[in-house]
Formats: sequence, structure tokens, C-alpha cells
Amino acid sequence: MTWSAQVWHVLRKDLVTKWPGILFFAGMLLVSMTDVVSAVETPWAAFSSIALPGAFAGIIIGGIAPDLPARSDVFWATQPLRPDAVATAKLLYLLLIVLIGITSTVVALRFFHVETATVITAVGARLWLVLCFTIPVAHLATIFSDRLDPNGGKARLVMLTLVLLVVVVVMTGRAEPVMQVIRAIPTALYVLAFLGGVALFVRTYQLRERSALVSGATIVCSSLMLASMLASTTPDRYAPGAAAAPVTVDSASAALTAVHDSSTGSMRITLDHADVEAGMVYRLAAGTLTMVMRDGSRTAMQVENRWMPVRMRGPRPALRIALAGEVSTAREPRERTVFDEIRFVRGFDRLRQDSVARLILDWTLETHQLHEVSRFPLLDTLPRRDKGAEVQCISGAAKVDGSGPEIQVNVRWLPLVLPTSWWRRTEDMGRIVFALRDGSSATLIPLEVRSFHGGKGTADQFGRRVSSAGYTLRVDSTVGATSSTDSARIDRAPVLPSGRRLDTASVARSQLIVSLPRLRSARRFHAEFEMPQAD
Amino acid sequence: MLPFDVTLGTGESPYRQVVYAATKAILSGVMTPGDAFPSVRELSQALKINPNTAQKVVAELVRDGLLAVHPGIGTIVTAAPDGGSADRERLLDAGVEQLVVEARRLGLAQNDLQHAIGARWIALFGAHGVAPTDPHVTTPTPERGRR
Amino acid sequence: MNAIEVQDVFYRYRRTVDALHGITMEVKVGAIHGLIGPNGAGKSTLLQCCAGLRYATTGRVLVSGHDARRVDPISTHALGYLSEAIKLPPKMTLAQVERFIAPLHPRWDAALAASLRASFGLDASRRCGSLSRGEHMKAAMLCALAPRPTLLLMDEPFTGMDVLVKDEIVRGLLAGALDSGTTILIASHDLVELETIIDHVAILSRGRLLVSGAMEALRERYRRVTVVAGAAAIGAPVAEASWMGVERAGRRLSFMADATHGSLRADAMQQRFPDAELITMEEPSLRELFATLARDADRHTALEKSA
Repeated sequence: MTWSAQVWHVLRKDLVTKWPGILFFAGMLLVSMTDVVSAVETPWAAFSSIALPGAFAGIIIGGIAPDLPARSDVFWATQPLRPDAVATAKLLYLLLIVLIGITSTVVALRFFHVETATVITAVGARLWLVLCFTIPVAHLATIFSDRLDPNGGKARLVMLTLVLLVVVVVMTGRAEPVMQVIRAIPTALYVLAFLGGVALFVRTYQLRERSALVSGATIVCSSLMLASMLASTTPDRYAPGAAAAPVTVDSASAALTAVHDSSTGSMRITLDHADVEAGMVYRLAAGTLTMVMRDGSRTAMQVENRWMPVRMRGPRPALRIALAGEVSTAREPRERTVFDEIRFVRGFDRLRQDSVARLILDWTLETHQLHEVSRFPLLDTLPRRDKGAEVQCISGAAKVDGSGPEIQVNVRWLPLVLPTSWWRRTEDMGRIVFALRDGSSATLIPLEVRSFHGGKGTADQFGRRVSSAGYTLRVDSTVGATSSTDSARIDRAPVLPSGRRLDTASVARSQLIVSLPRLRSARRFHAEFEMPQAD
Repeated sequence: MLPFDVTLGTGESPYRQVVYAATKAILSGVMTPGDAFPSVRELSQALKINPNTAQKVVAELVRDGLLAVHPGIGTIVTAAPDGGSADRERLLDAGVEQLVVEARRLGLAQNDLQHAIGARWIALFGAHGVAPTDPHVTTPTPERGRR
Repeated sequence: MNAIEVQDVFYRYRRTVDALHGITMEVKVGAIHGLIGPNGAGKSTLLQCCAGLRYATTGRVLVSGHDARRVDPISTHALGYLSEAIKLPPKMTLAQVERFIAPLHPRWDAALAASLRASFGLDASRRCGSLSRGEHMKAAMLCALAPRPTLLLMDEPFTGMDVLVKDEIVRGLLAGALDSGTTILIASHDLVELETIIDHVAILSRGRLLVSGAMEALRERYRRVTVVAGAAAIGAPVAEASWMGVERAGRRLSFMADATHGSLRADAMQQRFPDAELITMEEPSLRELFATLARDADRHTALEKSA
């Protein structure tokens, strides 16, 4: 038999004999999607997130371990199978499992109006992690045990699930120093270790006995493989102060305006950024305002992170950020001041007393690209339930505030769709951008949105719902098990580019587009202002 | 099932035991000339002996003139050669030796032994018993029922 | 060229324990070669070294002229290996296993497989895990014989089998030897089954080879001699220290004589024991030969240790 014929031969044997386990795994994936369907957090979510990798690992170990030639009683070792062909078939088997997992998840998620491209990447990454985790574990298990009891499949599964439980528990937030050490190791070393681990995996199939050298080397490589895929899930998060990515935004000018505005008691700083792109979303982050007093002392205040959609004003898109703030009436300025775009708060004595000599402003502007994640058809029909996207369209029926119909969309998110890693805390997830697409038009109508905070934060329920004639669109969004709410409203019927207003007919053609911003670059800026002398 | 009796015991090479049993069967008329002799395969399977051994058995019997190989037909028992009595006596060798040794152990002289043999012969087959040259006499075990 | 050549092979566990100590032997093509020895003698280890499942620490094992250490010796040598520890994949049926391994062997004989299945009485649609011990051994044997290997290594195929199964196994391998000219090396405790089928034997004890050669030659070489001393003697004749298997009771002396140490002819014996009343010499059975040689080897080892 030729080499490739042997590879296919072994692979086919594995698939034919292991199909119940694979089917079980695929079914488990489908079942684990139920946490999306039900509003209440079911035990399924917790169970599937742990048992699923266990099942995954079980079929992997069940596929690999019995055929290892480094055990003298194994049947296959006495057959004329080339060891490297067997090893290749095993690797392909693993790859196939990952693909089956991805397909199964994609099929399940098609019901949830999730963009396939995003899902594939995320699911693939997730399954790949488990795969990377399982190869070294399977390898280690076979090195240490001469005889893996063929009836111990269940025992293996339980054992591995427990191991993974421990790992997950340890890794979710309680191992920060370890993670830092792991992250400090250069990526190149991980890649090498990974390749080395795979090579040793193949080599084991060529060796009839395990020598101490091979065992030791395999343990080292396996550990590095383990560490590598833990570290590689670091999203490209921007950390304040870290080196910035390539710049796409240039030339910012900052102007200090309206200081000592006695009527409003506020100070306003305007930041102008040119060369912004229309499709991008920008975020002001890590802003710090330092007030240097005339007596030489310094006070630093933090600027709250803000999202700034680009507005089309004039021929070129521009970004104007206006920071207005207040200093409290207390003698000492507060440590933390909210610079709010909209609010003007009264009264700051210090400034009036002319005590501030200079203002130093440092800020970082992040450029985010929107990735379309999901789209929902808005149908002007009777209430319809889509799995995961509850679309109720009340048209002509109970109107809110006597004005236009209200569309309510309830979206539940799968944690894996969002750029968080599996076992990490749900951190600041940024924002979800909602937009309307009218029929086949490529133009998106952005809806006013507010950022929301996942995990511990609660959403601001700020704002009133002002409806007037036309449509009110309210979108409530929750994220997986850690839910928070977001609202996207359009208060007034948006004007479509063609000049028409959004009405029943056009709503029927419309889709609600949901996008997630992804960090592309960030740049720090610095500006200093001399305070004008008081008169 | 083989056309002749053989029970393999330990302590002697199977080859010799089978040769002995086959020779005895042919010479005593259990297998007549023209009968088909078992093939090497049949011998090997029935007796659970090495096919090489079975091969040697057949070769030895052919060499002794007791079997003949006819291409296309198989191995056939041939007519007993004229010098049959010498072969037969050879078959009795072991038994004779055992008897002689036993007699000596008991302290008997050669005459006593010969006398005992003669008496036993008459008792079993009668004074006018069947002529010793008749090759078709078989010797069943405990002859009591023969009256 | 011999089917197997073992050249001064040592197999060392953990630096102090020698499973095999300086084994040199050969297995001729077409022979049915028995490998006997007490538990722990190293039979399994030797077989595994021949099969390429273990690598000898020093020395060489040549199978059909090729080194057994090659990465996949099995594909080049058409080697069949059967062991009581082999487990057919429990979830696969026999039919599935056959379907899988048949294309891997260029000389797989489907007709032979079918006839073996019939004569072994195996149901090919049953999972291998549900087969009884005897059925499992027969199934494994089918998988080893159907490819018509040139060399068949069998490690304790009779252990725990009932008489009927043993019969079938023996008949199966004898048919294989006849039809394919397969060389068979079979290790077993079951000397009764072995004695009639083997034409060569190697006796192992504590990792050392005591004797290896053709059965015929061994039968010629050893005799169990029983000497009854004359009435005038007091007690049995004196035995020499170098004799094997010496037993003395009353006026009888019994020992195993080795032709290489002295003639086995009647006259030589009579010269040796002039006052004997009776001297009998018998060919030993394989069982007796093995027991005597093994005990003698142990005795020598003990003597060496105490010396």
C-alpha cells in the first residue's frame, strides 16, 4: 500500500469506529447553544463549557492512545503500517474533529443570525485551543502509562474533565502573575515549541520504545505548547502607555475655549482630529488632565473613556471632541472629574480664583474598525420569534406615546462571538453599534447608541425616550450569561439618503445591522494650555 | 481418522512411533495393498505432528518398500515384500526386549521364558491354530470372547 | 540464510536486570521451532526482539537477513506475531478487522481466511471485545495466518485454552506451515502440545540459553539411565558431581546422560557400572529434558554464587 493510501486507510478506520463519539461531540455543541435560546441562565451553559472540552478531549484521546506503537501488546504495532503514515492519519483525524466542531457550531448559529465569517474564526480558535491542550495531554498520558486500559475511556473522560476544570478555575483570574510570566515569553519560542511538540508526536509513532530522552523532551515541549496556546489568546488589546500600533490618525489640534465662563461655570476644551476615516469609530481613552496651580502643585484628573462616531461635516470627515468639565465646589478639586460632552455643571471656585496656571492634557485616540457581526431582518408582520432574536413588530397596534410603531429587538449574544477569550473575565467589551440598512441600500443609518459595560458594570439607563412621529426603534441587547442592557434608539424617523422617511414599507425591507468595533490602532496626544490671566 | 491405530506417547520421537504404527498396520494386514495411505496433510492434522515429520514418515515407508507414490493418484500401500518376516520381527523388537528384561528381573532363565511363550500361544490359538504365515490374522486385545 | 538469527543478544532492564543474557541461536527456514523455559526466562522478550517490538540492548537480531530493529520490519518480512497479550480492537468486529488489515498485506489469502474462520467456528459479525478467550486467540491467529507470513512468532498461544481450542490452534498452525512453508517460532509452557509438533527446540532459563537444536539430535544426545546395583552392593552406585538429574533410592540410581560427555552405548555403560544388575536407557520426553536441564542450570548458578 502506498503511503497516502495507508493514511486514508487508517483515517477511515478511525472515523468508522469512532463515529458515535464524534456524533456525540457534535450534538453536545448544538446543545450547548441552548444558553442562547433561553433567557434564564441554564445549567447547560456551565455544563457545556466544561463537559464539551472533556468530550472533545475524550474522542481525541480515544482516537490516538490505543494505536500507539510504544506499547508492546497493541495489535496495530504488528501490522505493516508505516508509523509516519499512522501519525499523519491521527493528525488529520484531529483536524477533522476541529472542522466537524466548527461546522456543527456554524450550523447551530445560523439560526441566530450570526455572520458566519466571524463565527468560524472564533469557534475555530476556541476548538483549536482545546486541540492544542489535548495533544500534549494525550502525549503525556501515553508516555507515563504503558497500558491505557481500553475500558478506561470513561475514566479518561472524567479525568480529563477534572483536569480541565482545575485549569479553568485556576486560569479565570486567579493566576495573573503566572499569566504575566507566560505572556513575557516571546511568541517565536511558542511557535517552535508547538512545532517541536507535533514533531515529537509523530516521532513517537516511529519509535517502538520510549526512551527517557524522548519522554523528557516531549514533556518540555508539551508544557510549552500548553503555555503557548494560553498566551496566544491575548487579544490585541491596547494598554494605556504601551507602544502604539501604526498610526492612522494624524494631526490633532487642541484648543482651550471658554474658560472662566461665569455663566456656566465650566471649562471647555475642544480637540480636533483631522484625517479620520468615515467608516471608523474612534474612542477617547486614557485621557488625563493635569492642572498645574500657580503655587506649583499639580492635580491630575481622569477623562472618562468615550466613543466618538465620525460625523460627516463638510467635505471631509472630522472628529471634534469637546470636553467640558466642572470642578467641584469643594475646596480641593476632586480626583476624578467627568468630562462630559453634553453636560455643563456649575461652579468651580479654584478656577475663578485664578489658581490654575497651566493645563496639560494627555489623551489617546483609538481607531476601531467595525465588523459586521449580525443582521436581523425587520419584518412588518405579526410577532415573530426567531431563535435568539426576538423581533416584535407592532405596527399600527399599541403605539407608544401615540406616535409611530415601536420595534423591539431583543438580541442575545454568544460569548464566543465577542472578542473575549474563553476563560478570561468579561472585560470592557466596548460597544455594539447598531445601524439600519434599508433594503438593498449599502448605506447604513447609524442609530444613536450608548456604550455598555459588561460584567460588573450596570448600564446607564439614562435618557428619555423621545418619540415623535415616525418610528421608534428600541434594541435591547444582552450578552450571554453576564447580561447587561443596551439601548439603541432612534427618536425620530431617520431620513433615508433618498429623502424618504422610514415607514412601514421600508422597514419591511430593512435589516438591523449589528457591528462590533475592533481596535486597529491607537495614538497618544499631548497638549498644554496656558491659562489666561484673570482680569 | 486414520486407517491405522497410533497413539503418540512421550519419550520417543513421533517419527519413529508413526513409522512403527504404520509398518505394523501394513504388515499385519490392517491396510491392504492398493489402499490409499493418508497424505502428509492428513497425517499432520490427525496426529498433530509437524508436517516435516509426516513427510519423513512417508519417505521412510517408501524407502522400506511399503508405500509407493503414484503421481496424480497419491500414496498407495504396496504389496508386502517377500522378506516380510524380517520386518515383522523387527517390529516386535521393543516388545521382545521388554519381555526379556522383565523375565530376567524376575529371575527366569531363557528356557523358562520360551516355555511360557509356547504355552501362551497354544492357549490363545490352539495347537492347530491358524498358520503363522497367514497374514490376515489380527490380534485383538483380551481374547476371552473367542470361544 | 536462516529465518532468524540471534547474535549475542542482551536485553537489560534498569541496568541491573538482564532479561536476556548472551543469547545466540538460529531458527531455520521452514522449521517449527519451540521456545521453552520457566516463567520469567525471557521467552516473551526474545520473541518481541525478533518481532521488532523491543530493541535488544546489545547484540543483533536478524530476521530474513534484515535487522529486526528497522522502523517497520513487519512490512518487509511478512511477519506474523501472536501473543496472549494482543488485544484485537474491542469495538471492531472480526469482519471489520479483516477488512482493514487485508489490504495491508500483499499476500493476504481471503480463501484461507474464510476456511480458517469456518474451521475455528468464528462469527465474523461479533465484536472482538465480546469474544471468549479461546475465540479471541483463534481470531488473532486468523489475522496472523491469513496474510501467509513467512515467519510466525507465537507467544504462549495455549495459555488458558481448553483442549478443544488447543487442538484447533495446533491444527491451524500446522496447516499454515504446510501450505505456506511458514517458519514458526513458538514459545509455550505446554510441553505436551509442543512435543509432537516441533522439530527444533531452544530451552531458556533465567535469560540464558541452555540448549538449542533439532529435536532428533537432542533425542540422540540425552538418555535417562537407570542403574540397579547388584545384590551384593550396599546402596546405589555413586554418581558423579557433573551428572544431571541424579536420583538415588535404595539400590537404584537414575541420571540424565549427555552423549557429549561420554558414550551412550550399552557397552560403555556396562563398563562404567560393572557391578550393575540392570541398566536401562530411555529417551527422555521433552518435559523431562527441560525439567532436568533447567534444574541443573539453577544448581550451577547457585554453586557459582556460593563459590
